[in-house]
Amino acid sequence: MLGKLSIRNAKRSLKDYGVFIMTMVMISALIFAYNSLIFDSDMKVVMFDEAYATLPVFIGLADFFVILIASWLVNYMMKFMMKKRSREFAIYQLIGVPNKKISRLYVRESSILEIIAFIIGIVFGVVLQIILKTIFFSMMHLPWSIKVSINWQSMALSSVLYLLVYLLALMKNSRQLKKMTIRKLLDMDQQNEVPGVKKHKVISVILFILSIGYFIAFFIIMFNVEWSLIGVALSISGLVIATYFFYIGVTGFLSSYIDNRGKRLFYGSNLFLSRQFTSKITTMQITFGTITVLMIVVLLNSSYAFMLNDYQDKMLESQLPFDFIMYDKSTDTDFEPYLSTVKENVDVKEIYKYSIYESSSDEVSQYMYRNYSYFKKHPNHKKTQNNAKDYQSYFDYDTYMKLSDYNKLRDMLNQGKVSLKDGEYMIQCKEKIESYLKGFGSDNEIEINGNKMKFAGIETIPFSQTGHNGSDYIIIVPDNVAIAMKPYYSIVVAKFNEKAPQGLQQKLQKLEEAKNDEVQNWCYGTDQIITMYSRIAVRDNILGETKFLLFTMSYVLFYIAITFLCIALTVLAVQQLSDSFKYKFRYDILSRLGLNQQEIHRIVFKQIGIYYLVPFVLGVLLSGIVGIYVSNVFIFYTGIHSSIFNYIGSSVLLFGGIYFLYFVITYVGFKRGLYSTLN
Amino acid sequence: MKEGWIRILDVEKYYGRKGNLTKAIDRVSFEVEQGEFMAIMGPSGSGKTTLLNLISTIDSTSAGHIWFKDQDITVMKNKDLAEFRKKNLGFVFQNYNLLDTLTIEENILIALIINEAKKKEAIEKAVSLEKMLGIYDVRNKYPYEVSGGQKQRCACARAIANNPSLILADEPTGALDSHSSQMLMETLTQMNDELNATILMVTHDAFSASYTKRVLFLKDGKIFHQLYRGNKDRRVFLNEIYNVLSMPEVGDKDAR
Repeated sequence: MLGKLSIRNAKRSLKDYGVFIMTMVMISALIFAYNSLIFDSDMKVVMFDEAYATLPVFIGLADFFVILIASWLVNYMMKFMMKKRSREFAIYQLIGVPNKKISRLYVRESSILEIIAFIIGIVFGVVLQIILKTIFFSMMHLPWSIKVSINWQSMALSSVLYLLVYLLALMKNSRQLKKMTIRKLLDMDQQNEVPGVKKHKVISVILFILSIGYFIAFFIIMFNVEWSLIGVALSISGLVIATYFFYIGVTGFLSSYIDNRGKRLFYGSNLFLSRQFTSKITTMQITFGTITVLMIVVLLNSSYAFMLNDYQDKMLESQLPFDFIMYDKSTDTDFEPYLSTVKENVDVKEIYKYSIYESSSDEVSQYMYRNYSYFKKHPNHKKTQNNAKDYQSYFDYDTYMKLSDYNKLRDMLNQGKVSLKDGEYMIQCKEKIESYLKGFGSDNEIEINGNKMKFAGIETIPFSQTGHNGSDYIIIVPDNVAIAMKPYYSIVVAKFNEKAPQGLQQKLQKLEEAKNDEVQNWCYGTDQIITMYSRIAVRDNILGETKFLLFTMSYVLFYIAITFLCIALTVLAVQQLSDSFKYKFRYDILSRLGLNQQEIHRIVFKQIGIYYLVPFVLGVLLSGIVGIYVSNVFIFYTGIHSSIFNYIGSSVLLFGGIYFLYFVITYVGFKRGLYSTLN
Repeated sequence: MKEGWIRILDVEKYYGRKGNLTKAIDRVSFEVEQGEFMAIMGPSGSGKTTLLNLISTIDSTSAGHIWFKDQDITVMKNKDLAEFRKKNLGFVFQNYNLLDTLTIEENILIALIINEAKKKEAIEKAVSLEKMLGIYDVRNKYPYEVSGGQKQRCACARAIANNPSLILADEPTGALDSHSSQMLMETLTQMNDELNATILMVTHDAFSASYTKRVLFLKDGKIFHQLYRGNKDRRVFLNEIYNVLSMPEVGDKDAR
């Protein structure tokens, strides 16, 4: 009997809470697709073990957040359904069904729903996995043919994770149901009916003003203050609290506007809509706050993912222009052991060894310390008596290179030759500091061994300037000038005829470690966020690993973002759709008062629009400003050419699309529900 | 014959399909004069509410015509019907049908706003109705905070706010205690006397019906009797109504 009843109830819930089931399908698909990557044999084959080891770590971390938030959703939904059905449960109790049995009935029917969602989710998960892998392999420029891979490990892991989501939520709910009395259940049903926000209006208006004040203060401070880690944590917690305050406050603010009979209320459906909104938001303050916080997480996450992708697209290749490059602090290094290892492993086209020079002066680096905005933010990266050498961005002395070496290296990079007249110098630097060094060159002559030299121009080709060919910049001088200077350190570069095999980097690093030679005087410039500094660098290996890392990170960020978004939207949609009975009644009255179908459509559109728009707009606004700030920092440190609105803009577009989809589903479902009785 | 304010002519309403046809309203005709206060009584299932729904345009007739002054509402399109309701009708229902998210005053205001009243006029009108119907003190409360009688008086105020041609009341005292019922009927009488509102009320309750000027008795979808109050005292009229209700052919055990 109970079995039959629970199947019938599950069927009914499937209809009533379709959006929730859809989201659970998506969540299980995501959990399966991502976690199956960990065990995927195709992926394992193409990657180094070290790089590959990061994948489970990142995905595991993401799983943690996804499970936490997904179980929040399931818990929320179960509570929600229980509230909606409290009268039904009360009737069961009234006719003598024991609490234990009712709770078992409820658990059974929600389990049916969850299992259905999981099974459908796995099917979508397989498709999603193929999509993820296709994107991955094509972006990594690796060959791959589409095939389905399902193994027991990934199935088992996904099932366990999914079960965890469900059990976490279930534990709390069934306990609650077991303790319920008829009176309490009926009270619960009544709770739904009480609207209004009369209490604590003054407090809520104060909270509203406080929250707006905090938002403004937060953004002003953000752009003007150097953040410490504790400062960041505190101010972000403040932002979250202010978001909740905003929703508690906005009801008070809006209802005092209504109570004061603001002029706009007397236009169209404004009075009805604003009361609808305030009454709904009163019971949903915390939910709305949570949705907005989720939106912020979603948008920032995906902006960061877009940053990583953008970096990969535009910057990664130029970070390591040479197939192989190696630094050594001495001036008479024997590179032979390394080179022979290289030659054993790969077909080498050409090898070139050269020295970097110094003239015991640091005019250029001092100029940069004084003028480059980076050092205003990071004064401890300057060369001073007090600062630790590890942090120092630039070498103790300015670095010089022979013109002939420079031209040879340019040739290896397929760049045309450059020339210098006697008494001239030029600077080769990273693009991001070009303007500073132009400023230096036009104002200053440099003096080498008593000869004054004139600035002849600047070059900004990708040139491996994170400690190899200088850090950030190098000064190019005619050969005869360089020869008179002191050699500073040595570099060897190589060009290969083929792709470097995996593991070459590790082999060379092992040789280096065996030497047990402490490195001094190696400074890698001012790149931050993503820096690839390694004294030995096999381009194909490092790029492969870095790409893999960047991909993993951006993949995982999207994983979290999509899950969070879907969860936030489900709550919004379900709230609207399940209240349809109440709304039906209200719209029925409006129809009797003489509003026609079209007018009612318009009000429905506005009503749902407001629900969807408020958390979205607030989320976009808050995350947008943080996003712009973060993008700004990212562009500043990486020197990438992108607009600061690029990343957050792409995120808003992408997730706005998903948002819109849920809005349409809700609007259509809502209208359908409304017209099932309205005439 | 003098043309009525509202004319119901040979109206029929069927439910179901051929072979299993239920006639909820069976060739009903009557007229309502301007300023009349009229009740329709009858046992459960006699078609009272169906008739009211037909007149209020919420339901459509199967046959016959309903004329409002010079407009036949049975041939009007849906869109025009909404406009018609807005301009001509006011409703009072058994379950009040107030918007639970709006305060008492806002429930009155919304009817005015829908009719595009200006802010000042709307508020003035609402306040004057609140004072007249004795709900001024509770105007800023929500429906769930006030008594059933106050809710129903609010519904009355909303119904009359736009000076409709006709107020339709469906069992308005159905959910009220006897004291509140009495107050509400006095309110409706006041609306009829002072504002010259035309009121058509469907009721089970002989006591409520005794406040009106005319009572139509309906059974199995047909009018079978009619009573005019004339200059009679209300108690006398109430007894007359009881007499009709106790006729064996009425068989209405529900009537009080």
